Amino acid sequence: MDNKEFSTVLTRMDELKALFSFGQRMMPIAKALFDFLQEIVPLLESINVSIQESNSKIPTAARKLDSVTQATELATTEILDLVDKIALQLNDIRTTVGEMRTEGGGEKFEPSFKSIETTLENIEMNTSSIMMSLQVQDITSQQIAAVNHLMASVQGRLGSLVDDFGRANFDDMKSTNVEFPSDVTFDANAIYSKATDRQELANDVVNKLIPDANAFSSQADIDALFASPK
Amino acid sequence: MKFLVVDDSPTMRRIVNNSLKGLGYTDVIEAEDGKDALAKIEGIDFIITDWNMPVMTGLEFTKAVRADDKYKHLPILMVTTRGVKDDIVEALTARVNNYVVKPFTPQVLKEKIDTIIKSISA
Repeated sequence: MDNKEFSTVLTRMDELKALFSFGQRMMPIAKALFDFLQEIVPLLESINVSIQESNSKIPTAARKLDSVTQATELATTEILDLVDKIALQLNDIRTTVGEMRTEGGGEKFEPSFKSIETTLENIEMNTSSIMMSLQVQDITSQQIAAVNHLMASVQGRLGSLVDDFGRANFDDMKSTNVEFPSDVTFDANAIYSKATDRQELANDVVNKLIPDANAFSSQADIDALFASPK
Repeated sequence: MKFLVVDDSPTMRRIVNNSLKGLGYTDVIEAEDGKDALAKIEGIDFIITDWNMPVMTGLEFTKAVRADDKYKHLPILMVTTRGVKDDIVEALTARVNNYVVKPFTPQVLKEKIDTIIKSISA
């Protein structure tokens, strides 16, 4: 062994010493990391189970929401049937009052006839208001559809997360999924409000774009409208 | 005047239908989406359509009607829950004649129908 080779051996030994020294310094860190992993693995397992449990409850929630929509639609139909019946009955009463008047009810009954007709008109207006208020059913159905869509999305994300843990049976979970209808369309921002601001906005846009309802707007009109602050 | 009411909600179809009857328009037929409406469009004078519907939306239906030489001049009133400016402009750009935001009142419906009828008969 010449001097050069001896020098190389010494250099390598120094490097080895540095490595051992580094290893000694790293030991506590490695131990801490090991302890951390020992603690975190059961926690991750618990999170995994928890996500699976939560995910499996989403289909039930979706079914319950769907049943709410079906129930409100049924109830709305029943109310509309009754409103129609009331309208027919009001017509019958109006006809009868008309007949009584022409068959010689006499002037002394005229105030009573007028009073009955006024009451009939009021009932008619009230039933019309009831009917118009039932638009709430369509609006809440869209809100429920939007929530269902959101839950389907959450379920998909949770499923991916569970899948990423590498220990889940997402395929099993998929079998419990609710079939979220893909063809359901909804307005996620649908609101039931008697405030007139949204209709006023629509009127404003319509007036700006088509002052004459049959003359449609140019792209320049549309661009100008979007440039306006409102 | 024969009306075609297009809405996927049976409740809304009935409410619009009843409102039209209250305004004196008794000749009304219904369709549950745009595709169904296209199949029933023959002989129609006035269309009232929702926007959000499965199979074919009200917007797609409007574009299909406007692209058809035979029906492109039919008045279309959109009645929808969508009440933001971008949506209203999009519907008008697709050439609906007017726009009603749900929930509507019979007065608003009457006013819009009258405006459209007045403009087409002028």
